[in-house]
Amino acid sequence: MSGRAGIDADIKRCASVRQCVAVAPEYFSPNGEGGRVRILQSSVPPEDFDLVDEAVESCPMQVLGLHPAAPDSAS
Amino acid sequence: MNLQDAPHVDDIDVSALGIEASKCPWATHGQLRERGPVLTHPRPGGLGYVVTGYEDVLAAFQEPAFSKDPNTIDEQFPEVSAGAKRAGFALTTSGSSHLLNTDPPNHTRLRRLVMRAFTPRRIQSLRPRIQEIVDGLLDELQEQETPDLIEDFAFQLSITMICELLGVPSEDRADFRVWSVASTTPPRKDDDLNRQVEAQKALQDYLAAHIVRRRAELAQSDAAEPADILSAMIAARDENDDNLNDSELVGMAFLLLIAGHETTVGLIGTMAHRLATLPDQRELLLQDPDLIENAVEEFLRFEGAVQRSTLRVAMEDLVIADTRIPAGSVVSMLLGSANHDPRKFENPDEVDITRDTTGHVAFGQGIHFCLGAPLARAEAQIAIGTLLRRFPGYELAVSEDELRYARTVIRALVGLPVHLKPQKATAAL
Repeated sequence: MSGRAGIDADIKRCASVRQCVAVAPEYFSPNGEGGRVRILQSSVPPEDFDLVDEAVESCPMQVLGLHPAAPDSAS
Repeated sequence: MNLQDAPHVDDIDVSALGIEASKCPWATHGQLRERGPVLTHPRPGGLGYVVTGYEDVLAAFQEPAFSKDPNTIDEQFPEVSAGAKRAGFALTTSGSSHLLNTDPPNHTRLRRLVMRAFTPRRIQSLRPRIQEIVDGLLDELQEQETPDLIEDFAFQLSITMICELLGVPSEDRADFRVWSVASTTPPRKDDDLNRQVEAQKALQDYLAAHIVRRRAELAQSDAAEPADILSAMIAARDENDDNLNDSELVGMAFLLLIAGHETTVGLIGTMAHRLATLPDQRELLLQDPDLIENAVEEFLRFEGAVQRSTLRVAMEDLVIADTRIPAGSVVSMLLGSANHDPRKFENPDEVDITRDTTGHVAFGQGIHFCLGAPLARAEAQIAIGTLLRRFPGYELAVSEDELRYARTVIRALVGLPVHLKPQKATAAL
């Protein structure tokens, strides 16, 4: 149990607004398929929870989520 | 790759009168799509380019070489910006910087700051208040014989929300409404243009003074969460402690009105109109009120208030759909056409509130995606959901032929008179 959280995304609904990229460029890239956003790393350490949470919250399509990693998950 | 020049269209009316104000914009859009994915058409001050097909509209939204910044455009293509100003592009060029007249990186900074005031979670918290306003308006309307759902319902809801979001005190609201209506009513004669410019000036002066006042009040207050969206925008700071200056706040407040008022009226009006005339769709919603979220998305797709994107200017020679778009071209994406492209949506000209609406472009796409989308969605869901729950049998009080659309770039009915509780018994007399 690392206390990390995971980013999940329903990328097919992404509208390429790239608000998440502006907020947390370490986690989101604008270079996904069809101009959609691509997740660079889905595992988030506690010190970045606020930042990623802001990115998740900022998505007007509500495509993103930040969830506690399952206790037995690998990372 | 064989590049082509865009076919020129001068026998189909691509103006607001031919599209936004027509009975069936999708018929015009269908004709345009058949002519080609990118077309030129006459517009005031020169040629305009429109993109018609769904996939090509998406590609255009991703194009970084488009600019919306009048200063950038003016520097490189002064003749384009002079033409655009004459044609009424002035709405997005007036005064201060805001989201629709900036490019990255300025736009990125502004959007990140104002976004905090518009997150879906924040808008969610406004729902009880929206419900209260809707309930109050419907209480009044049920006393009337033939209320107008545009004037007395959609318009009132939209302007009341905007006043509250901006924290406009009740004693100023009458003036505010007069300026707002005059500012957003498109000019038809030279006189109107002067009146519009004067109203915009009055509104901007009011907003400037109002923002100074709110900023001072906010400094005195120790509330943890700013009460209205204007205060949230005043308080917004990024990690570098950057914030919006007064001029940018005026621009944003002004944009909220310009981009958010008539469009919301249009969406609510469209839904109230179509649900009155499509009994099968209304029945679906009455049976399953949870369908309201998808119904709003379907009506956005089918008949969104914004049928064409705001204008962009190509800052270099571009190619979209194998078609040349020369530097300096004024380009717009036909959102209504993309949303009725049969290659994307099956039976696109039919309303089906149960269909998969994923990917519709009624709010645009990319970095200029409508900031107010969560608010528009919440207002439409609550307004139409409540209208149907309380008055499931409401009917048009005029024939459909008598309905008229505003002659503007926003698709919105001018009026929608209804009977909320039709006297079914009259037929039996």
